[in-house]
Amino acid sequence: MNQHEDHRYLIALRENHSETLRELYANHSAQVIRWVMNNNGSMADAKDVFQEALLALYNKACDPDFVLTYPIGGLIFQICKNKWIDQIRKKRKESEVRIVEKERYTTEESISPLIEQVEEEEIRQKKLDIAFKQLSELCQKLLGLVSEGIASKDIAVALQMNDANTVYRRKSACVDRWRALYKL
Amino acid sequence: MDSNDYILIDRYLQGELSNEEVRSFKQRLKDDEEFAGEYSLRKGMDIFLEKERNQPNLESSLERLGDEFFEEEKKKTTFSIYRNRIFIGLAAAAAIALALIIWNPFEATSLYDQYAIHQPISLTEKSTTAAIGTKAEKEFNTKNYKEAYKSLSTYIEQKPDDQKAKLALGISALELDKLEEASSIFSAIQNSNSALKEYGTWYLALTYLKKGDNEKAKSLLTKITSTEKNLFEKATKLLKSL
Repeated sequence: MNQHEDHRYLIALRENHSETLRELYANHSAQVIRWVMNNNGSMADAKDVFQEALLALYNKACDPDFVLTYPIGGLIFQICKNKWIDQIRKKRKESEVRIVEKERYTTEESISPLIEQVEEEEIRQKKLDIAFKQLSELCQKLLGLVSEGIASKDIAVALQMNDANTVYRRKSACVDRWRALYKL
Repeated sequence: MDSNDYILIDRYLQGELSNEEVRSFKQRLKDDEEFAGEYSLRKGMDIFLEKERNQPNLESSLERLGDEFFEEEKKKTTFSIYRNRIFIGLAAAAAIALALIIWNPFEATSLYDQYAIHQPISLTEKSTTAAIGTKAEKEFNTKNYKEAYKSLSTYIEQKPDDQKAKLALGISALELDKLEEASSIFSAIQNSNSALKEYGTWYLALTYLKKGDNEKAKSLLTKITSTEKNLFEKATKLLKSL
């Protein structure tokens, strides 16, 4: 599948490019406001689900393999709808859920795999977060420094380790531990 | 999956594999479901770490844009004030005064002290109650907040609509550690249609900062829009330090 021109919005999310992000708000917020407010939500609810949807997309924006193949407006709208339906369900307003529930299943086929990928990554990120917080402080620091692209020899100095090899071994051990905690 | 597989995945993600190795890696992703799952998880970890670094800044940007695009009613009100000459005068005066507020990290200790630098007020030119106005102005501008607080209270009894004087009263209360009173004055300014409403938000944030409630301060600072450029820049700077 070819990359859609809206892929640039994912880059804007990753790079926090506020002028391009402003376009996203200008072009796509109104549709979400209308839908949420027509489905028992307030302006503040619409604002929250819109922001949550963009943060969910941000996960995939950081994924080097992810390619946007669909206009981003449609994707944002569908993610917002799913999020709002989930929230209503949590609040146990069953009658309201029934009204909007069917919307989840009338999604166009071409967009479904994208939505699935976004929602799966969101769940994985939440689980990774829980596992990460259980790692030792040293592991958390070490992984953060490696992710920033800081050279192993400099990390060795910063964390008072013997040499770059020690950093490498400790990093692998931290990743293994993180993986094990994730799978618990 | 063995330890060599994990090393292979790491090397792929770091771009260390040869073209031939990349081809066979991609083929294995298609053929070996467990391997593909482990790759996906490892990639998820990298995404997580990148987010840890950058998401707070992105959230601040989104919060600001959200305030701008999801509060249409408020926006209309602000626009109508723009056409008011008094607003333009006040805003210009406030902007110039704020431009003079410079953050000097060498002078102050706490974050509150670094940012609690107040612009001088000028009440007399629009006052028929010149004497008390002049007195309040002088006291406030010479940082005699105890006396300024009394004079401003008297002045506001006579000029209850003077938002500038109210802001100065709030600042005096804040300096005298009358934090609850300061909060309520700044909240009223924040929720009014006054040209100074953004200053209400700013000072309410400073009040929470002084109280030690950094979370509340942060959430208020993200509400300051770029309408008041100097204030917006200061808020952004302060947010970074919190």
